[in-house]
Amino acid sequence: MNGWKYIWNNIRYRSLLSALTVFAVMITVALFVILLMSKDSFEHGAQKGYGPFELVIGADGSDSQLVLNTFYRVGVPTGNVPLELLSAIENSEYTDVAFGMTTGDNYNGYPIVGVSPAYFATRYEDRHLKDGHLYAALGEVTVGYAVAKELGIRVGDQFSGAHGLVEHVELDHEGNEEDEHNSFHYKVVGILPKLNNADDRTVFTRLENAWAIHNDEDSAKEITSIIVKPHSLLGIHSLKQQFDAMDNVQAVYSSKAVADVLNVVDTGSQLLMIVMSICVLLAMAALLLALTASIQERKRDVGLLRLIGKSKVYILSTLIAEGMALATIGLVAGLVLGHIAGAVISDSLFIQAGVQLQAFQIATYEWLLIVVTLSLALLASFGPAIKVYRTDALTLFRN
Amino acid sequence: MEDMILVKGLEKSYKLHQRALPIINIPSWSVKKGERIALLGPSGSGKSTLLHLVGGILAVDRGSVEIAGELISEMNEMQRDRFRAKKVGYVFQDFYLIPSLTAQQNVELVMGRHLAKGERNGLIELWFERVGLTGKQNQRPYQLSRGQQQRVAIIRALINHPPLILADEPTGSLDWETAGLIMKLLLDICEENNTTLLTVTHDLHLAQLYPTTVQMDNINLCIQHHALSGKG
Repeated sequence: MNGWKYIWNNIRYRSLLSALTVFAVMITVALFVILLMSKDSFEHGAQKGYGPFELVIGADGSDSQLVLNTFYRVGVPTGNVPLELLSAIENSEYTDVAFGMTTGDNYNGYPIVGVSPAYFATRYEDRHLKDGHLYAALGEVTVGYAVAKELGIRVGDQFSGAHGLVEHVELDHEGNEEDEHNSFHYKVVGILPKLNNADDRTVFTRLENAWAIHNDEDSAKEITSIIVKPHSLLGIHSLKQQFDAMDNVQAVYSSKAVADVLNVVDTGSQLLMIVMSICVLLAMAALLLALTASIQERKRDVGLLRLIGKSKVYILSTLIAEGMALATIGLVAGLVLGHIAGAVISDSLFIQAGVQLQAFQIATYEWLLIVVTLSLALLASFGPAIKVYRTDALTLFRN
Repeated sequence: MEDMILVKGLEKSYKLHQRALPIINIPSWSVKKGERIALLGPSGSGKSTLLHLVGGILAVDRGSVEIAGELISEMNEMQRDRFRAKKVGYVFQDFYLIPSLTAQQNVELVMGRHLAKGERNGLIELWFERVGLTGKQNQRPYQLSRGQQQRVAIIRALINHPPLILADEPTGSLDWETAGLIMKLLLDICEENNTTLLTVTHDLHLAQLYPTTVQMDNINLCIQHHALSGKG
């Protein structure tokens, strides 16, 4: 009789125990896959989040805060810098191109960012809009892919923004919404394609809109940050030194700030990995218990196999193969489930958290997950198998 | 007629509280090919131990055991496993069918891979028909009566045509009527195939179905032959 047939019959005979073991492995692996995909997506998103803009200049404060707010639209700006600074940077010999940005208002929680339409050509080159065109006149906006999808916005729609980056609506004493810039209406003229970064979750408009809304005088015109694409990598250092020396101004390397943030996130991910690794060990403990229980039940079967002449190696290998088969079924099911779940939650996760899961790509450390799962399964199967290995035919005749 | 079992100076003891407790002491004994023998004796007389020594499950302390011309007392454990798989069939009191396998799969477990699938299925079907289990191949042990389970165990013991069948109380857990039928079936099939059968039983009534009985005496540790009929 084929050894695999014998193993498969044993798995089916103890269907509940087998199903529970497979389930434990499957859920753990699926969660691990989602975690690995999220980690990958976060790192990938963070790394390409600042595009060709190697330097950010803004108000003094935390460098991470400046970069996070400028490129990832997270948190609040460090403050404002005068508009004149933008001209000074644009005129620098080291600058290829620079854009001023204003942030501070939002529409339904999505930040409204003021930036020159030329930003898109610099960053995305020949990408075409999903619909409509880029903003040109005052009051026109082009919205990110996720904003349009989540809020059901179409070209031609109109809305008014609210002050602050975090969605909040305050009511005045008469019950009317306060702080909403009802007097200033935006008109949607275009929708961006899916860009897989924070721009998907942003409403873009002209830099001048912020000043128009807040009635800023020419002399008081400020911007929240300036993003710079240098002529060459060598020029970045000179630019940084030049503008970092100014009062109330800081110049930050985008890559360094992102790396700092990633390091912090990495620590969190590592903690999560430790928790998940404990889950993997628990799943393997379930496998070990299932095999141990099955061996107690099967001592006489093994005695019989020994009696009818089956070798110890045959018995050892069938038991290890049974454990490995359960773990492999759980592993494959977990990998499939993890990727399907990733595909299902991908859009909502992106809209909610800005993390774009690449559900149909193998995550960076997925191979390691497979190797570790199978190795632990082998280890978990080996103990009970060795116990059975020592069983002799006389077991049949002992009470 | 050639010897199927040839025992010389066989000794076996068990250790009890650091002392050797002699169980078997047989100066000389032989069983001819095709003989069908009921091994009788009181509890603790060493009947099952003798069966295990002859089947190569236990190693001898002293002496020799030769089965079908092969000296199994000189073999190591792995060699005895291989020998048993080819030359010995076992039937037990508790059948020991593997519960996760169907009746047919329990039989297939002992069959080699030399037969093609169709050939193997045909052979199994013939055997199931022979023992009165037609159509029961795909039943699992718990779906069969105890008598039917023992019939499956008999097929498993005999399907490879081993020259020697060892049966340890094969009807011990069956009712009186079924016990008689099963014992008769075992005897008939062994006679048809000229297979040597050595059965341990404590049931004198069933032992009378055998052409030859052997009494094991736990005082003298020796074997006496009592031919109860002219058969065999």
